[in-house]
Amino acid sequence: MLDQSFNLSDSNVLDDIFQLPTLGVGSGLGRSDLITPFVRKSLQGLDSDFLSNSLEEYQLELKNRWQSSESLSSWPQDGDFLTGQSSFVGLPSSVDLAGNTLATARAITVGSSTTSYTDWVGSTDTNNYYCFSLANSGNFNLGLTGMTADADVLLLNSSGSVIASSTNGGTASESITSQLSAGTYYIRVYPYQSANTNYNLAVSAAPLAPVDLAGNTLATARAITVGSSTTSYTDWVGSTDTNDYYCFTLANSGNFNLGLTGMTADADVQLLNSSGSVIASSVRAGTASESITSQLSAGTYYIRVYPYSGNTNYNLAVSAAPLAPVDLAGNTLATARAITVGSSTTSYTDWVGSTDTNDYYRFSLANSSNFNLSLTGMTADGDVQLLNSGGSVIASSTNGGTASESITSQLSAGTYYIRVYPYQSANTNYNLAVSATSGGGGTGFNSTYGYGLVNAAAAVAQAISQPTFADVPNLGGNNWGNDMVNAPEAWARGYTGQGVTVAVIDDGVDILHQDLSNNIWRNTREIAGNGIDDDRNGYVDDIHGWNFTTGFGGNSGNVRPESALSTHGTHVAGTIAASNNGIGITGVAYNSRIMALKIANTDSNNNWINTGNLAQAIRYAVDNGARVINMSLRWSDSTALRDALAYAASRNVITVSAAGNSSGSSPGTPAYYATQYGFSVGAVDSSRTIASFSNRAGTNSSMQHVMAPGVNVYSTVPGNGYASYSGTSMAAPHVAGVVALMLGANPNLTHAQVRSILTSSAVRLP
Amino acid sequence: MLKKVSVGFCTRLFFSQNNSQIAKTMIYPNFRWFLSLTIILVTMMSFTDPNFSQSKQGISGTILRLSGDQMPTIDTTSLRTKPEPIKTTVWIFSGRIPAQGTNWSVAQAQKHPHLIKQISSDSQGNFFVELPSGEYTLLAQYDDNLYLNNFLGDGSYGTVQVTNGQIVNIQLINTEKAYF
Repeated sequence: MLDQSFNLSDSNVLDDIFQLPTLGVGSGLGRSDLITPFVRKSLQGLDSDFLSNSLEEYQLELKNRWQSSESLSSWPQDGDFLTGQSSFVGLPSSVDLAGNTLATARAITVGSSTTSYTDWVGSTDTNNYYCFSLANSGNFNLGLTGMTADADVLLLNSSGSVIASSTNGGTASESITSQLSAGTYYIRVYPYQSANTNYNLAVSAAPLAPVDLAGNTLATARAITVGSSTTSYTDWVGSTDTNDYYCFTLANSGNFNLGLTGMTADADVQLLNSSGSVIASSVRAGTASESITSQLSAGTYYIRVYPYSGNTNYNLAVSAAPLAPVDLAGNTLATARAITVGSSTTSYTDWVGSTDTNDYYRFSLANSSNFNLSLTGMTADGDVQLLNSGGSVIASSTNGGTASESITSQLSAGTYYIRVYPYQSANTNYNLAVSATSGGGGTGFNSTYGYGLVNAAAAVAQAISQPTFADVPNLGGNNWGNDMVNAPEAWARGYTGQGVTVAVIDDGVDILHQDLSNNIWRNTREIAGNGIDDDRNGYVDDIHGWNFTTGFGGNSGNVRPESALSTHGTHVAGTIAASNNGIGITGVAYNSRIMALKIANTDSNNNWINTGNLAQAIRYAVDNGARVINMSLRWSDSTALRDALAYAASRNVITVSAAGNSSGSSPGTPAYYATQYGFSVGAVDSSRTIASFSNRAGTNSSMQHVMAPGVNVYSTVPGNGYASYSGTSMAAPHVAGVVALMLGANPNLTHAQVRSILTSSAVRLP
Repeated sequence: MLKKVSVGFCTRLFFSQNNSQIAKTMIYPNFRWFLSLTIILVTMMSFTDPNFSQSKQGISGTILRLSGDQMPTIDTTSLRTKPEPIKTTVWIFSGRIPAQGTNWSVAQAQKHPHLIKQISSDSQGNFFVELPSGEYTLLAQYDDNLYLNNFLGDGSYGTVQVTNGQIVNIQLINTEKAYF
């Protein structure tokens, strides 16, 4: 025991007491750290027992060094022997096994079993970095414990960016849990402000256990509940589980919302109807969250989650808030809602169903006008009528199912009504869009020329709400067709069809032609020649389109014509998009892209053989990004064809069909569907006179029939050649090209707007 | 030109295009009647079938005309009119000829310095012309005009390339009265 009169102020004495031997490597302590006990020199009022213990241990020459240092460490930091600021005893200091920068990060192992690492951070060591790699995706866990001051921890990616953090206050433990994919990561431990503290870092990463609670087919879809409150489902998709299907039923119409989050690889999601057809999809790239919002009627639906690349967990959240019936429109003619119908489209949203079977709107026109109406956004079957001031039906649109409806009609000045109503027991919201453009000069629609000669200078200008483009000098020669439709006027303003894809459904396209090869659509989501449906659209190696023909060579990506007589499709394509390169000709939309859809071969008698499915070709064009579809052909009518045309219109894809060459009084099929979808095109010669062979417009002013050059049209033929052909087949691509110019100027144009603008801006003939 | 015909194991006969010379080798007497018949038949063929080419290279072609509604269709009630074979004169020019449109008057064409020859197609529209290697322009005559509806990017009429040992097959199709 010490003499209690020991002079504590003698710092040298204190040093003598408390300077214990340094414990070096191999001391048998289980660590390679150097432990040097240290006592701050601000001690005051030392406890005699403390001094006594210390001196004894020192005098014993520290036979057991670890016990000695441990006893020191266990002494309290406060109490009767330590007063003064920031004093502590027995703390390992200057321990720095972890690197202080990313580059010098300490390599550690993170596996399914927890590994632990002890170190120190403080004023002289403000960063401890650890580096680890995962060979496979895993559930990473980190715990930072044993601190005596405030320290925090970050999880960083291989670039040093923070993925997650834990910054609890004081000496509270820190923790991070995260799903990590294979790769390299860093951990950074650091003190909060001026804290100094030991810590224990414990890490582990349990391999992801693929979860498969959802069914892998429609038949085995997992039944889930979708209600007004969000419900969530967690699962996994990847190389060994390529489809997760969920099934739900709505008792009533609702606003359906879906979110797919928490992914560590690229996965996508689709919403399917009860038949398994896709209603909506979300296919964002990378690990971005996906979402779908859709109004759904009562019924059964499916959700499909599938991987685009890699393996990933996901969280699927779904809800469906019941639709709130809206009734702003009047329910009788007398109470019809007054609306404005002008050159700019006005829209009205409402609801019809079992409790609201009629919505009436009333409008007036000051002048004779080209009236256009569209009814869209329906989740059940709704129909529409146009009525005169006496309530008699002028025109109607009654497509089946949820297909959009449309009415176009030339109206004289006066008052009119619109009636929207449900078909049978349907309940649905709807969006009603209306516009009316003054008919301009001439007599408007007539049974020969329809709405007249297409005029790109006016149509493209109207598409962007500008006055008609100024006239420019004609190009002449073989470009007389471009001159006649005023395409150069649009080109002069920079509108050349850039960004627009035009599908040509025909007997193939010579995609290697010198005047076409630079303007052929390329499916950028498909890798050529690997025999894999990379974009999962149902077609393998569909690089430039698809060959829908039957027989040898069909059902493939080979879209080129196969016989000397198969020149038709190449000629059509050139009129639309031949390059402006000083060779041969220039297409109407010379910066658009041609999607080649081969629907037939040609035999030695010039007949089309091995014909494919036209409806399927139309749907392919729509689903793969075409905004315009040219059909210079005649086809048998069918429900499938009509539905495909309706599908295109619902997606704002404009179909352009040749009227036919039989000198008929009205267009043939599919052109005659232009009362509701797309355009019918007749042919004029260089003097703007209707060609003798051209089918006429007919007497129905709802027929969106226009005229374009179709006599001695010079364009591309296979083998880097050119030829002059006549026919409504040659007129239609001029219109397809003008539509491409319009959409290049304003990609947001709807199907109805394109029809309204093109017909109202056409030059009345004769 | 000679065409070598191999008959049997021991006999080879050589024919000239105009049958002007026959070389005999050893012939077994029991084959004589058969060989004589073969000689007669082959000689007849060489004079009657223009496509029986004893030549090494040239252009073989067919003249056709399309007319009426030729719009592609699968409507079985209106099959398109079949191509009509044309018996006419084929005019052959060397090299490229700047196009005069689809129709070029005979009066002008016959003065062109690149005119090489004229041949006739048969009732099936078929023709054959032997030509040295090179580039040629062929047009079919319709009354007082030569017609060709095929052009190059530089505005010339479409041409045909003849290469050594090759016979190029082409179709010259008149689409003036056809509507597609």
